[in-house]
Formats: sequence, C-alpha cells, structure tokens
Amino acid sequence: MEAGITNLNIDTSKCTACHACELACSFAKEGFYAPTLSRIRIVQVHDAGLNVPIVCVNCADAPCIPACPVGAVYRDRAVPVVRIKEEDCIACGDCIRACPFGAVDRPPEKDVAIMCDLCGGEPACVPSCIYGALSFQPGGGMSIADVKRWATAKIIAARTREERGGAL
Amino acid sequence: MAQVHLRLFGLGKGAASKAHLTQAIEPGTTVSTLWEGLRRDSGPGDKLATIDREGLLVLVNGRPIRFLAGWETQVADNDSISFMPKAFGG
Amino acid sequence: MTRPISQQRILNIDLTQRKTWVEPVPLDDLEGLLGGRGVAAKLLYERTAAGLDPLGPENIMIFGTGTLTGTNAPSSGRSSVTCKSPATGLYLKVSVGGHVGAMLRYAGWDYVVIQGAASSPVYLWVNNDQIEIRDARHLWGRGTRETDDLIKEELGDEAIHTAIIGPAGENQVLFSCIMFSRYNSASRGGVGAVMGSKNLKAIAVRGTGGLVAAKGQSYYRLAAEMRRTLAADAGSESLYNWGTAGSIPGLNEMGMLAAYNFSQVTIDNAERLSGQYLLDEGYLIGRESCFGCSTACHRYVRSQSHEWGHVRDSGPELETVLSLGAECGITDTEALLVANRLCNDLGMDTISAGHVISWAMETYERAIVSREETDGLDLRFGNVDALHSLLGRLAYRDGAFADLLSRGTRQASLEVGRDSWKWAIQAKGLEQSAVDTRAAKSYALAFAVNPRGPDHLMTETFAEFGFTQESLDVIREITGDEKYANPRLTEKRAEIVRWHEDVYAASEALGFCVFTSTAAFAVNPKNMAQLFSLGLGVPFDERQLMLAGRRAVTIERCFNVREGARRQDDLLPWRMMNEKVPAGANAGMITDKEMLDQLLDQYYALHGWDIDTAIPLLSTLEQLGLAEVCGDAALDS
Repeated sequence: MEAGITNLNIDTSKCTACHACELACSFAKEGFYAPTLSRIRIVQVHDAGLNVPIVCVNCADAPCIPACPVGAVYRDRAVPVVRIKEEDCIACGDCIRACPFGAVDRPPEKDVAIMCDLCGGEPACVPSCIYGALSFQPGGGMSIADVKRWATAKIIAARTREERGGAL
Repeated sequence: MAQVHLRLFGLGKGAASKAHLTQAIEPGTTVSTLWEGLRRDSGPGDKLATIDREGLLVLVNGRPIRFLAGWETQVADNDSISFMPKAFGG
Repeated sequence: MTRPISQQRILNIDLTQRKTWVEPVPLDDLEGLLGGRGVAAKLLYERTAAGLDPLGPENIMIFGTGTLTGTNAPSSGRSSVTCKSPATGLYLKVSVGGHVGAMLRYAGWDYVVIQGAASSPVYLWVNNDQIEIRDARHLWGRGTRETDDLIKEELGDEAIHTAIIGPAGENQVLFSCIMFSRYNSASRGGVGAVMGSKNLKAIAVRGTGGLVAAKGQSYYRLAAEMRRTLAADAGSESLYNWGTAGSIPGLNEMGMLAAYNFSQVTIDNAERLSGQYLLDEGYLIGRESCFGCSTACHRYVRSQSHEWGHVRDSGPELETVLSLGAECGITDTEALLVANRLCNDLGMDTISAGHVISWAMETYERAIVSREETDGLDLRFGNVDALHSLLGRLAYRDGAFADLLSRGTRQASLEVGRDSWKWAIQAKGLEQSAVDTRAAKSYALAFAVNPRGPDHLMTETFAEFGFTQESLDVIREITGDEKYANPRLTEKRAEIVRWHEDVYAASEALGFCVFTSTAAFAVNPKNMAQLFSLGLGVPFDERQLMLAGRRAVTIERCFNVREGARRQDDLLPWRMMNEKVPAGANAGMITDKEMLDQLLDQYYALHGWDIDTAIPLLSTLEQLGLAEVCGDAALDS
C-alpha cells in the first residue's frame, strides 16, 4: 500500500449496477435519494457486460487540486482525502475537466462540484453494496496498479463497443 | 442384491457437475444413511462436503422427501434418489 | 425537482393531438391502492370504455412506477405497463425491471399515460419536466439495441434509460414486447403491439431530481435492514449464483420440465439449459440488477463456439430456456442464446414466441400442415435452423404461415383447425407459462383466474411447494397448517391463491420485485406497510396494505367483466385439462373440468363473486369502497 493513499477498494467484476451505493451516498450527504447528488456514480458499458463505479480515488498527485482557481480543492490530512470546500466552490468546472477518471461531478440541481470524501472514514456506500464491489479499510485501498486496472476497465469496455461497431 | 440409483447435481466441483452412481443397499437404508455415505466418500473441493442439509433438494423417485418420511424415508430396490442444492426460479 | 414520495404526478400524453398535461394523484388513492399496479388499474378502468380496439387510438398505455421506487427499499425498482391486450381483448398489466421507473421518478413522474396515436413514428423524450415528442422515422425498423445506441447518441447522454419496441412491435405481432433499459422485457399479451399501433417507437427518460421519505432516517434504516435480510436469504443467493434457470435440474428430476410442446415432462441433456451450466461452461460474463436490487438474478452471457451466431446479451431466463429450448425439443445452449438474443433485439415475448413455435412444430410433426404450408420451414422438433428462421420471420410477419403465427396460438389453431387447438398451450388467448398446472393445484387455480391469461406473473403461489421454512410459515399463516404446503392438494387452494394475489398486487404497487415477497419472504405485508407509513408520513398497517392489493385485483376482474368475460373463460389450456402427466413422479395427474370447477367454486365464494358468472357482487365492491370506481360491472345481489 503506497504511503499516504487511502481510497475505496473497488472490484468492478462484482458490480451489477444496482445503484444502492448512489442512494446511500445521496442520503448520507443530502438527506434524500438523488443519484445525481451521489459522489459515487455507476457507469454501465453495454455489450461488455461491465459496470464500473466511478469515484474519487485520492490520487497522490491529484490534478484537481492545482486546477482549481480558488483553492477550493485541497488534501485533508484527516482520513486522508482530497476534498472540495463547497462554500468556496465557484462551479467553474475546471476540477471536473482535470480529473482523468470523471470522478468529480456538478449536479444539475446544485451549483457546486462534488467529490467523495469517504464520509470522514466510514463511507456510507460500503455497507449498502451487497455484492462486495466496494470495501474500505482506514489507511488502505487500491494500489496504483489496482487503480490502473479499475480505470482500464472503462477504457477497454468503450473500445470493445467501438470495435464491434455497436452491433451484436 | 438390492441397489439404488443416486443422482447428484451441483455437488461435485462445479455448479453443473453431475454424477450418477449405483449403490447397494440393505433393508431399512434411509435417505439420511445414503447422504452420510456420500459425504464420507466426497473429494476435496466437492460441494458435498460443505453443504448443509437445509440447503438441499432431495427427491426419491422425483418426489421431495418432505412428502414422504423426510430424511428417514426408507429406500427400496431400484429407487432413484436425487440430491442437489436448492434453487429458485420463475 | 425534489419531492416527497407522497406527492405523485401523472404525465398525460395525447399522441394524436401532440398535447401533454399533468395531474396529481390524490393521497386517498395512494392509501387505497398504494400506487403502481393499483392506481394504474383504476386509471385504465376509468379512462377506457368497453369494447375498444386494443390496436386503435382509444387504447391507453399506462407506464407506472412503484410508490417506493427510487428509494433504498430493496429491489423496489420495478415498473408496469397497463393497457387492454390485443392478444386477449382483456386486462393487461405487465411488470418489468431495469431502471426506467427510477429515472421517471427522479424526473418527477410516477405515471406516464399515453392515449391516441401519432400520425408517423415518434419517440417520447422525458427530460425532467421538459417533454418532447420527437421524430422517430429514422429509428423505425431498427432492432432494440441499435435504437438504444442511436437515441443515446442523438440526445448526447449515455446515462438515459429507454423503453423501446423492435420490428415485432412495429408490425403489431400479438406477442411483441417492450425492452426496458436494454435488458429487461415488458413481455406479455402484445404490449409491444399496442405501442407500435400508436407509432411510438420509444420512450427515453432522464431524471436528475430526488425523492424524500417523510421519516427519512427511520425509513432508511428499515429499508437497509430489509436489504440485509433479503441478501442473506438462500433463495436470493441461488438466484445470484445461477439465475432463474437454476431450477432446471430440479424440475427435470421432479418430472416437471415442460418439453416438446408440453407433451413430455423431462428432456435428455436438460442440464445444458440450466443456469449452473451457463456459469460452469463460461457463458456467464456478468450479472445485472434492476434498480436497487441486491439479488442480481439477471444474466449477461457470451456465446463461445458461435456455431449459430455471435451473442453478447442479457438472459436467458428460466421460462425462456423452457419455451425456446425444451418446448421446441432443443437443448443446444449456443442455439438457445441466439434465439433469446433474437427475441431481445426484435422485441418479442420469449414465452409466447417459444410456444407459438412449439405448437407449430407439433402441428407439423402430426402432418396437419405440410412443408408447403409452413412457408417451406421443416418444423420438426429440435430443428434449430427452423427455430431461428421462424423467429426472424415472425417479427416481420414474413410469409403466410409466420403471419398466421404472429397472431398467437389461439387464432392460429382455430384457423388451422383439425383439432390443433387441443395442443395450443393457451387460454384466454395467452400462451401458458411452462409450469405444469396438472401437478401444482394452487398454480392451476391462479392461472385459470388470472385476468390476463394463464401465467405466473400476476400471482405466483410458489410457497405451495414448501421448499423453505419461510414458505411453510406463510402457508401455516394462511391456512392454519403447514401440511397444506403440498401442490397435490385441492383443499385451501382458494385461500392460498387469494393471499398471494393480495401480496403480489401490493408488492408491485410499491415497486417491489415479487421474488422478495413470494419466493423469498424478507419483504412481507408488515414491513411493506411500515415502509409505506414512514415514506409517506401517514399511519398505515398490514390490513390496509392487503386491502389495497385486494382492490387492485378486484378492479382488474371488473374490467374483464365489463369486456364480457365470465366464469367459462377461467380455464386452463386443453392439454392441462384433458391429458394426464405422461411420466415421472406426477404421472397420471390432471386438472380436469370437475377439479377446476371445485377450485373455482371455492375461489369465487371466498372473493364474494357470483359463483355462476364470476361477476363481483355489488356488496363486495361496496365493502372495498370500489362501488364508485367499478360498480357498473357488479352483479346486483
């Protein structure tokens, strides 16, 4: 485990796109059910039978931090996580564009950028995932190799679809 | 010598594993005795060794043992006894 | 928009006039009917008149969601489509999974009611509260998968969800279906044909709002606990592991596996049709959930030898491996995957498509029709080429025989004549699910009285097999003794069917998958009522919930009465009533007229319906508070 990295452990092979994590997250953060306000989002790639949870993985050299013009994105040493100070966010979208994983989002119904902050160390999504696609240990998570594998799942799936011309 | 046909599904090394065995029986042999015998002879990695009785569908000549005498159902010459993990469908 | 789940809204669309308008659903209706299937029943009854042409503009389609859909209630993401069926001329509700329901709810809609017909092909774009009726002429004629891709590209959003008909629905095949979120089929009764008759190719939905439960924390906690209980249920686990086709080995061993157009009850090499085989042989490459479900019974498969074609697609389900597999004398897995994919892409119900073909095969094998009369197809049982070819032709009604078959086995067998109606496995005009109703008496009764025809998807009495302790407990609760958990008995069947009708209807009204409440039992009337109460912030109990389910079932019956259906229409297929089980553990069993009459007498009496006609008594409707809704159908007592 690389020093200083903590993130969710994601096993894409177990994800069935049930969206329970999105419901748990939006409920924990907002008090109601709205996947667009979830900090974890499921991307379904058809024709590959692949479902990928997309969420911030707290990169060691997070590009979202320098991308933010007002310093609203920062690394919080507690947990530790990269997070957004929502009160300072001007919703310019630069951090969203900077993230190579698409893990930062701007909900249609709220004028800020949102990203996962691991709920202060007890991520709400983890117990909601019956299939075990998500797990978390404080101070643990995916190694750089794991993150690459996880990120590649999305790319491979997109390429599979393209190669097959979208047809069965 | 009396014998019965044992039909096992999903109790070997794969969910679709199939095994048909014939087994000699004494008078008074029950389904329970047959099952314990199968367990004793099971190989490493066989589901046979780990599955709970509660998780099994057991049929004697196609009838669930619940409608007979349960695990104490006695088997007779040429009977067919099927064992498999319970499954839902619909 | 973000709204409390007690505030339900109907989006009305008139395709003839290209108008839309919005209505609220009164809280009274939610407390009396729960939502979903229940409210849809009332809407269909009130907004249609008897005798309308199901393929004409006066038929309406109600796309319904569940009152708890979009929350963390486990497996509560199911939706329904309600209309008058072109196959039966009777009430039709089809249930379906996927994610369209949740999307609609986040968009601010609980029901989308479609009336009229567009003058040229269109699709509906529901983008939160922006509603557009868009040109679909460039989509018309395309398969469901291609259409889904094109709509997403056109609208610039991969995350939208769609409900789409294929060429079969466009050509008004009477067993055409609607594919929801790509992998889920709203199948039976020709619901795709109704959509096709309206020139409606698809509905695309994007919803970015939210839903608020009144007692948020308590609701969340109860739902989370129910989710954990459900996940621990052994039935849930077997569905995850092997899917619905996991029950194939058991069915074959019990001599209950419908094969060769239900003329046999076992088949050699049955395991090649099983969910276990899909897993072990590497066909299974993924599992899919409907929205909010922790069971993930759906399969995602890939063909390997490509002997019959390439497949990367969802399914197949148990009924499919029976109807397109064993019933047609086929156990070749690769062939079956292709057949299933054809139905998915062309948009056809696999149960009816399979049984239409198995009927045709038996008719051909009996030399009732010649090869000339079958458009040149050699329809012997087991002929995979003929199966695939015919599936393709059915969707386009290509050829005189395919055109005939596209109207379903009732019409096809009446036209072909020569007793061929005897082996049409149908009643009311709907092909029967592949459950042996000679050997399972609660199923027999439930199928005979099912308003849409003989299948398991309005009411399924799985507990009568007593396979689990939970099911024994339920039978004991209903009848007083777990000995009645025996599919061979004819006693107490009416009580068992009635409990299941009420629970099934209530589950569907709330959005629950019925596996959770009638196969597993982690979701039950008590906790459903608790969730309803916490979610809507109103007092509500189990008794009220069961009554709401009862009301839905009663309105459905009244609709059929209004269409002229009577006791004599509550039948099983001829073969189930006249030919005994030929072999296996259930050999000799039958549900003949005498036995069915006994069961029906008990059932109608219990329901408070006239025994001779099956018409609900006015007093029964009054007790349920339904006199104003459907009193016109009642029999004055």
